[in-house]
Amino acid sequence: MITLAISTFGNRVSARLDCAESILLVIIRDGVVASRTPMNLLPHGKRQILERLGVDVLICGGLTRKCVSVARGSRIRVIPWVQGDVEDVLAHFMQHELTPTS
Amino acid sequence: MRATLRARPSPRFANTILDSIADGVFTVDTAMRITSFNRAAERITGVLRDSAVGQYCFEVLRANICEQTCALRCSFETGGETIGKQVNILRADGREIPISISTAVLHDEAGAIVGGVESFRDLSVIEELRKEIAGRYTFQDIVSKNHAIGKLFDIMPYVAESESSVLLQGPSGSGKELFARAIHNLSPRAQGPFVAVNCGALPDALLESELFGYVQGAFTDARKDKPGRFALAEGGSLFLDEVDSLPRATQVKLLRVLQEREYTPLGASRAVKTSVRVIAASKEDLATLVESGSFRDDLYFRLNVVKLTLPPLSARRDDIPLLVHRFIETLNLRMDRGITGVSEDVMELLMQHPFPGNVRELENILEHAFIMCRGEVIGLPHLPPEIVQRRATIAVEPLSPFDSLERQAIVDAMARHDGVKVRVAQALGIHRSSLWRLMKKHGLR
Repeated sequence: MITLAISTFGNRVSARLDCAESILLVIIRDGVVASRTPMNLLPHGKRQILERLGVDVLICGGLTRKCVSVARGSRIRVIPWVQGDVEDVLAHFMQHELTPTS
Repeated sequence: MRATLRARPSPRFANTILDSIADGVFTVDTAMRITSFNRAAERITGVLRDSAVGQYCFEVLRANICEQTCALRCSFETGGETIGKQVNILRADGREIPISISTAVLHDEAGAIVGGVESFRDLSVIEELRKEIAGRYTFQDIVSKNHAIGKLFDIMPYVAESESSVLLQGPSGSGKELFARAIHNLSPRAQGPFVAVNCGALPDALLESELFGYVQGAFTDARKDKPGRFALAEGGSLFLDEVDSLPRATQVKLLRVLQEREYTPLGASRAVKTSVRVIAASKEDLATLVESGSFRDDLYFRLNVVKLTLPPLSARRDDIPLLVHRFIETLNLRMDRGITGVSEDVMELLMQHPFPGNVRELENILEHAFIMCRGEVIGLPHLPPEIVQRRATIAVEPLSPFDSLERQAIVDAMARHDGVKVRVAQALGIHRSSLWRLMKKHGLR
């Protein structure tokens, strides 16, 4: 099972993780999307919230240097600087066309 | 007289005009997709025109307001303009840079909205100059323009984000608790409690029960369960001040908490899991105490994951004018007063005072002066007598005439120019590096 989070702005991937106010939480079982839950995020403590949600992989837009530093200390694998429609991005991830860098 | 544009410029002509402008300029359609992007916009954002055109502006500019309070969208909704709004953008290389933006709506000949235009100016250089001139760093409630404190400000957000234990070392009154609170407030635990314990103020016999709590029947007076400070700080941060005064037995128990993330309340049969970040502070050098055998080395290494050393106020005299202003602002609010400042001779005295009690002593001196002063400016008669008497003692100490004059000139200039070194150096007609050297020589920094 993989718990995937995509930081969102409307139907797009949010352009900056530090400013993102919502995520789409996707549970993937046996290579199939089992559930999708849109959630709001608080401005601070995003990493802790994502860790508590058991997120394995985070797809997001731009990362500030501070965000990069914080992400390094996390067990969550991050796919940053992604741009596009959330559905397209999810489809690419399901087809293993997006790979975590950390 | 009204000017009328008779000929519509060709797109190429318009691009040439836009490219000759030093500010970044782009236009969008009503769907927020970029329709033009000038050369300065390429330089500031690091995104090429060909990549930018056709994209959503919020995915190219990545400003911190794009997703909440977009200035262009606001212009579309109100028809009004935004002028000189300061925001920051995230460049493709991960660098955040400050810019000021102005927006306006574009109409067609029939008056219908067809898009918007945004111009933006890179404020990086101005911001750097501002910091250089003001030399002022603010961090939560801590004010300083001191170089050493500025370095601490730089790393504190990263320290705060981590879950590591932090050791704050510095003399009494140097602001260790203020720094601890700042770390907590900036951390992901900010919504949790911040609990402070002065280990040196509690008798050894009480310390353990204070920290870990006890259960009913643990001892004669334990009539009901009492949570300890660890329990009260659950999900937040526990600030252990004067950690050097912990008895050896309690040191062992604290070590276990840090290692195992659990503790056992007095009289309990089971350990309790804990999620508390420990921020410890000591006025003594813990490494020296480890060498002398009075502090456990294993606990020291656990606490000393990140060590921040706070300088005494005597080593950051350039902060005194700034701190005086800050305390006057705070005390005016707290005591409902209208004090406007201190006299020149008071500032001169404060710049020379050794401040064994550090920032706390300065605050106490000003609080005393607030009580004594009935006017708007604090003068020498309003200061605690021992401070003024000490000045008289210092004044009769033999100093070489030249050194004395040199020191006095710097102190006077610092007081006159609120400690802003660029201005102090200019006033003295010397280079900033010479000023630094002389301040060091006279113990003024």
